[in-house]
Amino acid sequence: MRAEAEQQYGDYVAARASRLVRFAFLLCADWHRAEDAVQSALVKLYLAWPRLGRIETVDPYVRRIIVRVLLDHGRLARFRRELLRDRPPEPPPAADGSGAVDDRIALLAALAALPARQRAAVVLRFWEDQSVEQTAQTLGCSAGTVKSQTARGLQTLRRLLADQYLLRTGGSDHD
Amino acid sequence: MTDLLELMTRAVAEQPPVTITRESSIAAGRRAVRRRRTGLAALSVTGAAALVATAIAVPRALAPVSPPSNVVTYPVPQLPAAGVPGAIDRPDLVGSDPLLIHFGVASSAWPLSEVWYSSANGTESVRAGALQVMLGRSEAEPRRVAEGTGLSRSVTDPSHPNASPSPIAERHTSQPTTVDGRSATLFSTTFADGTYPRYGLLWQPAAGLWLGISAETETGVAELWSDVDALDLSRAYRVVVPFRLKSLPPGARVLDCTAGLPAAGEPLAASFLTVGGPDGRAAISIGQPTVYPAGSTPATHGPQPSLPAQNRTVAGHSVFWTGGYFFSNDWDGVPITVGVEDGYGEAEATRILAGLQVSKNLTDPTTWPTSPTAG
Repeated sequence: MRAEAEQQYGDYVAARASRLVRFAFLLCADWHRAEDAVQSALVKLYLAWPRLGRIETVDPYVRRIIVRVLLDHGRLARFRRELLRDRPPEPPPAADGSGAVDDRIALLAALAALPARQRAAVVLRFWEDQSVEQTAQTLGCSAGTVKSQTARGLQTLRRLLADQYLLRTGGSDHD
Repeated sequence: MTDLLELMTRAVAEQPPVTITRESSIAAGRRAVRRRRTGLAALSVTGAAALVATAIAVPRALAPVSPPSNVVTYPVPQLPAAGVPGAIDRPDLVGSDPLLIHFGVASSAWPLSEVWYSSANGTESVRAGALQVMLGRSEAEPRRVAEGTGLSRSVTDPSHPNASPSPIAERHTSQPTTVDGRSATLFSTTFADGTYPRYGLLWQPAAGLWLGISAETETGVAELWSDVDALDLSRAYRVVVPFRLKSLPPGARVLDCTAGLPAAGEPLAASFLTVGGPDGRAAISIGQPTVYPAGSTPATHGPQPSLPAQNRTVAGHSVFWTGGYFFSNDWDGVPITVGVEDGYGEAEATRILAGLQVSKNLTDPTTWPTSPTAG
């Protein structure tokens, strides 16, 4: 890679790595695995950088790689519990609502209860603020699938968290 | 009142310092470039031998494109099944045995950390990185793989994040071609922004047999033809998992198996096995940690929330039982789950789990049991 392009790549990493790890963490609930996934994505990004180079292209590319690493071909798709389970686990117990740790545990538990694609759809839509179309691009599915996955995911989250939290999602589930 | 974004923000609030830096990423990227340049030379002996065998078994596809001589490939781990005919000789066997696939893929033009094998209901598939191959006794599933769906991409102007995304112009094509002298259809989806084009190929390698292959590519269609060259339909390969079930409910047999084989240098791959019969079904997974802190205190070990306090002991292991599932993130050092349904209950799940014997070597599939339910 040419020095100028490498500099731009380095700038991107410095600016985005931390946020990308947080995104990955919400998909896998494991900081170490999240960092591994982001690092893998950034290596692929380095290889592809000369063909990308525009931020509006780079971000979706990296997100897509992270999702692929964690959920699809994943290192090693460890969240594929939905292959085994056709019903959700019991709801997590009511948290006392007073502590950040309870919030964190409750949310991660609820996310973990979602099938991988639903979890990815919810995280992309509401954490990464991606549109339905952008989410569909990242997940490699149709916009209709994203809408249904998101709606089902939110329905499950509401059921699991309803006793502790009143979930607002800032808009229609089907947007 | 808490909304979802606030909850997510709290969930990531305890983010540890990120070790990824500009320097480490550039260094890793440079190493990846060097690996790519030397990738062919780095093929394992097994992979190279398999490639040679492939070249003998399946002549180079008669493709109207340049030979993929400059495509870097990565060896795909596989286990030959001695004495079992390949799909080209016995199409009727495809998808008939969950522990066998009747074709092989020696290499992938896309890096991979594991390969997944699956065989059931008249189809067999291999997924390795961005490569997927589906062999079937009917056309529908292989065609679905070859054509692909839902690939529309769009971008949002970063200076107007609330604006509607603009679709990236894409071009779909399908054109006739040939593979090994047989008529085939080449599908492609390319994007105006230059991101990974995708190619697919569908053909009938023999009467009563359809093959669909899909490859996301970095450099173009040559990668697809490289993957096609790596196919071997004259041999069969074993579908193995790194564990054995020594105790099954009466009448139970293997119904379905998705086996993950780790690529060289990779840790354990996740694998899934379904056993059962007329009285019920059980699904066993290995290599997949469970994050399910129901009723739990915060994590007591490791970076992720722990399972709740164990409420059962099976074969000397403390496990958690809930909702028809046993969970353990440390069954002889590896995460496992055993779930039951359709008539099986805790008694059957306990029986299966009590007989679960995890292989000592989790990275070398040649040491894994030939059959997960034998002996």
